[in-house]
Amino acid sequence: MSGTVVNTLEIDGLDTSYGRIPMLRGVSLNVPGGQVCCVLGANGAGKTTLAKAILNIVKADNGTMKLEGECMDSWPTHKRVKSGIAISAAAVGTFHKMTVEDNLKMGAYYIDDSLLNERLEEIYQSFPVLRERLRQKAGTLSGGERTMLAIARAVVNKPKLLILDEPSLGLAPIMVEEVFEIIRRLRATQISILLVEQNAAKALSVASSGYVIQKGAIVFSGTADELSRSEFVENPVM
Amino acid sequence: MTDLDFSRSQGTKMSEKILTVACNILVFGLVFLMLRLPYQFSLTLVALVIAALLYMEKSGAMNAVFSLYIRNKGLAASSAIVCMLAIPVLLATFRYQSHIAVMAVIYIMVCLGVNFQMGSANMVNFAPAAFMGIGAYSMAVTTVKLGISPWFGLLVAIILCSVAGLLIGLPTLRTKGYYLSLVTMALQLAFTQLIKNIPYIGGPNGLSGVKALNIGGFSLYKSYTFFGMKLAPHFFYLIFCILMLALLYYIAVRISISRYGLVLNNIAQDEIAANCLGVKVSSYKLFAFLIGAIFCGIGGALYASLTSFVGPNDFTFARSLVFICMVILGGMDNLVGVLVGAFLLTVITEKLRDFSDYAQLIYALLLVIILIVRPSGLIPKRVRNYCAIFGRELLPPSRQNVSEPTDTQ
Repeated sequence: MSGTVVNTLEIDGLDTSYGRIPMLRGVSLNVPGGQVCCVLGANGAGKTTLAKAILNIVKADNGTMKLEGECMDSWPTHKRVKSGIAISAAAVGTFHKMTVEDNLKMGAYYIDDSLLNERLEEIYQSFPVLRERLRQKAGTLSGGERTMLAIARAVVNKPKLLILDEPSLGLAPIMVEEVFEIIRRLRATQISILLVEQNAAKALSVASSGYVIQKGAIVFSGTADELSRSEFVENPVM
Repeated sequence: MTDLDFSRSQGTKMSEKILTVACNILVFGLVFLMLRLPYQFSLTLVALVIAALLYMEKSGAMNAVFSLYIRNKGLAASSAIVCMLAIPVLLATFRYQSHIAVMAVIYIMVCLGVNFQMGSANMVNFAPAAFMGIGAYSMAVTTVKLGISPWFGLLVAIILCSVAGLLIGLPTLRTKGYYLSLVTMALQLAFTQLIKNIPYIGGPNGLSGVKALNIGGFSLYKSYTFFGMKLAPHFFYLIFCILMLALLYYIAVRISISRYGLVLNNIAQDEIAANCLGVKVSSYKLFAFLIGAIFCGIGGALYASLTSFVGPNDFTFARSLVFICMVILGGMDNLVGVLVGAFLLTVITEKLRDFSDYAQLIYALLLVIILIVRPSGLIPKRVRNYCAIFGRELLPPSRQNVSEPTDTQ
C-alpha cells in the first residue's frame, strides 16, 4: 500500500495503557504522505487514545513512532508539535474565553511575528466564517464554527501531519458536510491527514486508505475501496 | 458585558487629550485625598470610590475610560507619571501619610508579581510573602551583616528571588489546582519557621539597622529641610518607589500583552490544548513563578530598606493572604484592577490602625461584600485584545464585508 509514497507517520507495535488497563495493543499503521488515512472504530475502541499517543499526551509503553522517517519516541509533546504534527480534537478544546484571533495566534505559536499576519490572512481566506467572528470569544461560536476554528488553529502552523479526531462529532448534518468539504480542500494542499472517525461512510469518502480498530487493536487495513466492502465497516459496532 | 471600543479614530481630538489629562488628575486627586484625609473622611471616600467603580463597570463607563486611555496611551502614561510624582510633593510634610503611600506602592509591586501566577496562569500561589521575605532578608543581610551598598542588596534580592522562584516552581509543576496551592502554602509556613531558626539572620528577633538606598552619599530615606520646611523622610524614597513601580508596571503590561501573556492565559484555560499547540507548559509555569518572585523580591527589598528592620512576623502566611485578597478584590488578570485593589486595601488597613481590633473585621466584611456583589473583582479582566494597545496593524476592516455571510446556526 505504501509503495513509492513516503510515509509521513509510521507507527510500529504501539502499546499504551491507562494505569494497569491496557488500551492499545500492538497498533501499527502508516500515514502515506499527502493523503488522507482514516482510522475507524466504535466508541471505546481506542481511536482517541491513538491520537493522543501520537502527540505523547498519553505515554506509549512500547512501540516506535516515526515522523518522516525520524524516530520521535523520546520527543515531548511540544517538540512533536514543533516538528510538524498538529491536532484538532474534542479533547483539545478551543480556548473559550479568548477571541477567535487569539486562538489562531496560539496556533501560530512557532510562526515569527513578521509572518503572522500574512499567514492569518491565508487562514481567513480558507475559513471566511472566522474572519467575521474575529473579535468574538470562541465560547460564543456555534459547534460547527468551533470545529472550524479548531481545524484552522491546527493548520496555521502548516503541519506535515494533521490529526483530526472525530471532527463530525456532535454536529448537524449540514455542518458535517461542510467540515468534510474542508478536509477535501486540505487534502488538495498535499498535507497528510490522519482522520479518526466513527462515521465510516463520511470518512471513506475522503480517505484513500484506512484502518479499523477494535478493542485497541488494528483488525483490518486496506484502501478505501477494500474498507468499504469489508465486514467491519458494514457492521462497525461489533 | 460590552466589549471595549477599539475603533482607532484617526488623529485624536484635542478635547480627548484634555479629557485624558483631566481623568488622570481626578484619579490621582482622589488617591491623594484618600491618603491625606483623616480616617473618617478617607474611609468614606474609599467607600464612595468602590461604589463608583462598581457603577462604572456596570454602566460601561469603565470601558469608555479604558478606550480613551488606549487611544491616547502616550499622553495617558506620561501625565499619569507626572500626577503620581505630584503626590510625594503634596505629601512632603506629612510623615505618616507618606509612609502609607510608600507601603501602598510596595504592596502594588508584590501584587503585580502575584498576578502573574494567580491572574494570568491561574496558579494560586500562597507564598508571595515568603518571596517578599527573601527579598527583604537579602537586603538586610547584605547591608547589616556584610556592610555592602543597599543597591547591591537590591541586586542580591532579585537574584535570590529568581532562584527561589525557580526552586519553588519546580515541585509545583507536578501538581495542579488545589494541590499546587497546598504546596505553596506549606512552603510559606516552612519559610517562616526556617527564618525563625537561623541565628545568623537574627532568628525570631529579626535584623535591624537595614540601610536605606542612597545615591552617592545622598540618602533617599532621611529628613531634609528645604526653605525652612522640614520634609518627611519618605519624600525621596516615595519618588524612587514610584519610578520603580512605573518600570515594573510597564514590564508587567508588556508581558501580559505579549505571547508570554497569551500563553499563560491559555495554560490557565486548557493546559493540554496549549501543550498540543506546541507550548512547553513547564517552562512557562516556571516563568510565571520566576517573574512573580522577582517582583515580590523587589517589593521586599524596598520594604526592608524603608522600615530598616526585618523580622519573621512581617512575612507570615497572613500577609500572603492579604496580597491574594488585594488581587482578587481588584480583579485578577487586570493590571489596573490589581493597582486599585492593592491601593484601596492598603489605605483601609492603614487608616484603621486606630481600631486595630476591628480592622480585620471590617477587612473581612468588605471582602465578603465585594465577592458577593462582584466575584470577579472591582475591575474584572477584559477580553484580550492588544492589537489596539500597541498599535499593531489590524486586518483591514473593509475585507470583512467581502466574505459572503454564511448562516451556521
